[in-house]
Amino acid sequence: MAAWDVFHSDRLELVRGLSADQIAAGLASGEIRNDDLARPSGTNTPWARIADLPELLQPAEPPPAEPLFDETKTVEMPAPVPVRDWPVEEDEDEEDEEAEPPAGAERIVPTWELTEDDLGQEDRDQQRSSSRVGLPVVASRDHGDRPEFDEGDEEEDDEATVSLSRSGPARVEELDLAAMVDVAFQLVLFFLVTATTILYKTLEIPKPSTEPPPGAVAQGRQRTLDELQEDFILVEIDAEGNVRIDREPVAAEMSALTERLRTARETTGRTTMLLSAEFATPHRNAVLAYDAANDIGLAIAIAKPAPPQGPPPAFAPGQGAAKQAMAAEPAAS
Amino acid sequence: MLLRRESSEERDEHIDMTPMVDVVFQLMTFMLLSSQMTGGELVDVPPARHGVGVEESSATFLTLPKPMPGATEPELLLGHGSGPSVTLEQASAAVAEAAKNGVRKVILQADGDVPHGRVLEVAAAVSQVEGVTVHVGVQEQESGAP
Repeated sequence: MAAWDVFHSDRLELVRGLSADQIAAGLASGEIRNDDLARPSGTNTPWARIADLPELLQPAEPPPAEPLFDETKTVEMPAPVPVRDWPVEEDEDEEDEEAEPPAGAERIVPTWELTEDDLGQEDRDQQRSSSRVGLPVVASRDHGDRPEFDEGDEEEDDEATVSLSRSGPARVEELDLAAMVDVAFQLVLFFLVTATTILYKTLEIPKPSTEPPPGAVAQGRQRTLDELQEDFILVEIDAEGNVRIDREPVAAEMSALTERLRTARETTGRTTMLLSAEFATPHRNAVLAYDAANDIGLAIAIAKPAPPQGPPPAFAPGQGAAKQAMAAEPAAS
Repeated sequence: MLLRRESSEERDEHIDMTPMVDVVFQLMTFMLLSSQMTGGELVDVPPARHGVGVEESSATFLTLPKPMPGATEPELLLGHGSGPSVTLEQASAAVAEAAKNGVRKVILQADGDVPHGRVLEVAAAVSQVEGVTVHVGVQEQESGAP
């Protein structure tokens, strides 16, 4: 026997699972009025007035597969239900909960006592139908589609349609961006912290010894260097940047220097380079020698050059002239 | 009630993180572009393959700029690039003062054309101060150089 859901439009109460006989009894007792709405249980068939459903008025006949729906006769809305073209789901749910009759429990027919699954399914259907079609909002634009859904095996079709439309949006998996945000913040922090520390690339140089009195060294320089050559790889650079290693000229470029220094170290076992550059040697040539020594891991010693003797005389007049010019200028002006 | 549970599930919305990610990436790009990992070289220090990094805050800077054609003695500047011109004694005093505050490194930013002897003079004068190590500033070798 087919079960029916009845919506009491006067009380806004939904009662499910009534049999046709129960409805007939309700009609007889005045519990159910002709203006109340009914539809087959568990379907999304549009609600129809009981007065328009002849099979309910004559309970002996089985209900037709598809209840007729007459739009013109069902437009009467229950007062508190907001009439919208497209009902907002949450609102409908709340109203549906309010409308759910705790008192109507005794009228619910044992379809509810099946299993948990059935219960859930039923409930889901019920909710869906209540949100879109369950309330008399059926007169909205949903109406046009409705009969197509109800064609043929309505149970299966309806369920499939409903479940698809319901869980479709919910199942759209969003990329979880939380991890990405974490990493990005780490990077931001890293840049923040490192931006404040600026590193300068430098070469550490040994402390030039202050002991050699320039004059004395200048006197005995040749001999001293000869003695030193036994302990150090002697690298001499003159003012023009010409390099001599152990008194032999070497091209002043990195690969040749390292090659020569490496040979010198391997053949003689000396591990320290003594850099003896002239005073006027450009700084970059000395750095080149440091770099070459660093490249093959030699220790570095620096011989303090004699103070300018050749160049200073050349410079001194210029210096004097500059000073004189400086002194002369105010006098001239 | 089941209806209540289901409706609350439907309302379980995630915070939309997309704008946050956008902002964070903007920040990251800004930091990337604006951060300066190595100090700009204000003098043309010689290139070198090897070297140690020294933090700006942990060293005293002395600059030996490129000698002017007319000038005889390359001047010595206190600080990096542009600073007051000082004598050797003043430089030593400044380094000693900094060493008292725990800054025990001295970086000589010497132009490649400065005479080697002059660099050593300054280094010798500065290293009179107890516990100071002397570094000469170098820069990265150009990629084309061997």
